[in-house]
Amino acid sequence: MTVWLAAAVAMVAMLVPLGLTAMRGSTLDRLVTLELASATQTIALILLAEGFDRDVYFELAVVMAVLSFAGNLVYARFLEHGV
Amino acid sequence: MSLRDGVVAVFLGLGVLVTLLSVVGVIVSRNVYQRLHFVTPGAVLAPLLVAAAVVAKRHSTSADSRRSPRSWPWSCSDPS
Repeated sequence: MTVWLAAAVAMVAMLVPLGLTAMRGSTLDRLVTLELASATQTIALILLAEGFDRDVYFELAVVMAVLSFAGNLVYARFLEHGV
Repeated sequence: MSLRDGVVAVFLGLGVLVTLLSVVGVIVSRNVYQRLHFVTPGAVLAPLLVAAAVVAKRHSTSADSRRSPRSWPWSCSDPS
């Protein structure tokens, strides 16, 4: 296992406590946890792409970054009326 | 382990450490305003550190390939 894949495993492992945190708390707490989880997931995809030495996989990370950014903005806008 | 591998490992270790501290901070914080403080390092600093590791690997790899004679096959087929 290369250092890239080890870092990717660490990143994926950190998604577990974030997911557990997102299951409880208020709605805004869940949104904040979702933001950090999306950033962590994007980094994990980059590390997996570099670990497997496939440049094509970087596109998945780029798409994930753009969609998670827009998705979090939509969630925040949607929840704005309830705050 | 070469110098390049050391630099890449340091950048990756810092990236994972920053993310780990962000995750712990988000979990431990009491309210949403405190949680927001811990999201920023994990969303900004950690990707920059990982990107620096990728650039360090790619840059040194391309420099090695320029120096390596195997990357210039036409120079190996020199009849002289």
